[in-house]
Amino acid sequence: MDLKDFDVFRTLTIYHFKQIFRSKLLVVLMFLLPIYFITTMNIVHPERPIMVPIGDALAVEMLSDLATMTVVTVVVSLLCGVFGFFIIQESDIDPRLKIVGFSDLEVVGSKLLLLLGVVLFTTAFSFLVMFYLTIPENISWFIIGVLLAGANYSFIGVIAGLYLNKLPGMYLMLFMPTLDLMLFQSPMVDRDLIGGWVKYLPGYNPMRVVLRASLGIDQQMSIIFYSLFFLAILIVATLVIFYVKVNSK
Amino acid sequence: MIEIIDLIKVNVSAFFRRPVNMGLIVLGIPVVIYGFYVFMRALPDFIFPEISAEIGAAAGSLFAVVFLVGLVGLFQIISSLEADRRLSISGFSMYNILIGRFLGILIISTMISIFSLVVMSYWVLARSYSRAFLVLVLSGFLYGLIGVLIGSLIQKELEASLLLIFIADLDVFLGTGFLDFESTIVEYFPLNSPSHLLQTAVLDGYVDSSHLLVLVVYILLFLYFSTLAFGKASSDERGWI
Repeated sequence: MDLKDFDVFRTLTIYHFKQIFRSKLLVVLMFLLPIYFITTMNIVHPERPIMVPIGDALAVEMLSDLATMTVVTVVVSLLCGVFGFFIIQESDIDPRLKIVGFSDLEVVGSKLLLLLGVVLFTTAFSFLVMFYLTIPENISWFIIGVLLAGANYSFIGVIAGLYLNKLPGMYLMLFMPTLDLMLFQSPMVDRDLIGGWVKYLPGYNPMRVVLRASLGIDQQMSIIFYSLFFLAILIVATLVIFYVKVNSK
Repeated sequence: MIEIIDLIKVNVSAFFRRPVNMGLIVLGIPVVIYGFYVFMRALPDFIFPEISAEIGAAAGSLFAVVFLVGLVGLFQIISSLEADRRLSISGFSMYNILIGRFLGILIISTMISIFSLVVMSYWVLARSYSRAFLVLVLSGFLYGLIGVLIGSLIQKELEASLLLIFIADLDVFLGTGFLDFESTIVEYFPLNSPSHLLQTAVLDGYVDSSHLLVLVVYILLFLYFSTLAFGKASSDERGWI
């Protein structure tokens, strides 16, 4: 790759960026949703200690703080899913880009680059909002966990974007992370009572990383490994679906 | 009268014709009810002694009904306004069109409530189905009116439905009493009384008349506001935002 290739990527990424953020809704969501979600969850959860079983350990944390830290994961996953969906969905212009001479790889690669930017930005912004309310014990692992959840959901958003229309896709990318991370992976639920199936949801392992980091419990490498493994499967699945879709047209 | 019946038929079939809505009913309702049910079932008793799986199932049904009927209200305004104008040109009275819309919302609310209760019964049986049904239909209708209001303020499908989701989400979640959030503001949320009514209907088989009165007052209030909003929206093409 010489310098010219980077120019192509830069041009295309900036182009996609403009294309996506022309929608006022997405800009509003990106800034308003973290503020709304994180502060509301902080306010409505009572300020009382709660015992959280993590692995063999038992940690005690204020319910409001715990809810605030978990909702950061929810809000980042939600936004990443929504953006992943829209970045792929808004593809009316893509055939024209190809006519002008950009390759498939460049078009898709620049979209994924933009998505990466979104994942990083929403994580940073949500973290900043949270920072005013509470601080996790282990900041770096916390960010890694949130990024993992965001990455999982952005690829799910990409897959949804290949198949669904605007309205159903948006509803799916809204309800899925909320149900998964806020209800099924909630630190308040009893793992034995909810059932083993929650382990196969995209939020399971990232949320365990986030919880351990929030409460200051040592990370288990197996959890990190499973998270990365899940993400790798999603990436491969996305690429395969993409390849099949592009070639069938 | 025939005019109104025709209008209701048009409104109800317009809702069920959209694949998104059918998908939401067939897939969304079971997923949401089961999600709430299994979440509340898995909360340990020693931390949340008052929360049970039954309350979760009831809250799930309530959310499913209010969200879907709220969407009906939204689409009544956003995508049907043009059709209304044409109906009015071809001789239908605006008054009848409005009644047709509201009755359409009520009928869809009835259908969705029946379906939700059937789905809920797979996991939890209500002590009094007639009371649970009444509460669901009325709550759905209330949110249908709120949907009309939101739809006339923000005349865009995606944006308006997002706002509806966030409002309904918080409203149902606080209504469950799962969070002992000490604030009087919560008592004024539209679903505070319906949540209470539905819980007692499902768990104990009775409904408290004072809460029912509050629900009816809310419906009347929003009936007034949404009539105003409807009039405003149909008189000028663009919303306020």
